[in-house]
Amino acid sequence: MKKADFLNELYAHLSPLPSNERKEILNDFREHFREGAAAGKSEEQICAELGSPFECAKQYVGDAIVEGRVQERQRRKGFWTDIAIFNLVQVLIALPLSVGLFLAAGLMCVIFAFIISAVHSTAFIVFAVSSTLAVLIAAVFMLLAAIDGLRSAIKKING
Amino acid sequence: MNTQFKKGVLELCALTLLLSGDRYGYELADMLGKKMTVAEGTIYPMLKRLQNDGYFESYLRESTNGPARKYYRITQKGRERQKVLREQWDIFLQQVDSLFQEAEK
Repeated sequence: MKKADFLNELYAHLSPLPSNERKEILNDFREHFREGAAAGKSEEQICAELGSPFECAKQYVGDAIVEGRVQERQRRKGFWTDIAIFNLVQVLIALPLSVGLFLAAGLMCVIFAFIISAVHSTAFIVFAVSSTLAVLIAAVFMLLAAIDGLRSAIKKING
Repeated sequence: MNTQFKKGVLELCALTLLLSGDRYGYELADMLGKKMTVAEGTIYPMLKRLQNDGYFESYLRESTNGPARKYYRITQKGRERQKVLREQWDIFLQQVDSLFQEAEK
């Protein structure tokens, strides 16, 4: 491998970093090649001693992620979009379920009101109120799940 | 050798090399690369990390032949770090040594 190949490959793998940082890193390596050449080494020999440009870049980018200077999504945008799709599926399931449960609760109210007006039973009133409440609570939870999924998906897509 | 382990030891070596005076990147990469059989290219990310952590400072100094070189200087924080790591290293060596002695009796 020649100097130009090494530097090009290094620069390409450093793409998640800000451009001023990439240039600074490349300058360090240019200096290394300059010093190596002054010590009488060939470009191939210097490259062999440096090792893989990918390994170098991996360390720089890895450190930047650990230090929180680079968001992981910049490195793997596809991955985060996949996760956002999961959230959208969550919304698509939870939202119709929530609407259905709200309608069911409303229907139950109407039906139970008719039955209660005809049959004056305390036991039935307790059953009617508790079962309607249970359906209503389930509907609210589904709605919350849908909102949460939507918020997460938007957050991941926009960053 | 285990990469994480080697990484920690390399940091200690770089900190120790700078105790006796400032050095430029190539010098450090060359010395560590040769003595520790490590890819010289991975020395530079380590130098940058140590700098970001405040253990090193860097500055440019004109060289007699050619453009300026980037020199690294150890900070007070770096000296303290070196001391801690060095102590840990000595304790670790003793522990391994005593384990070997017992096991190989």
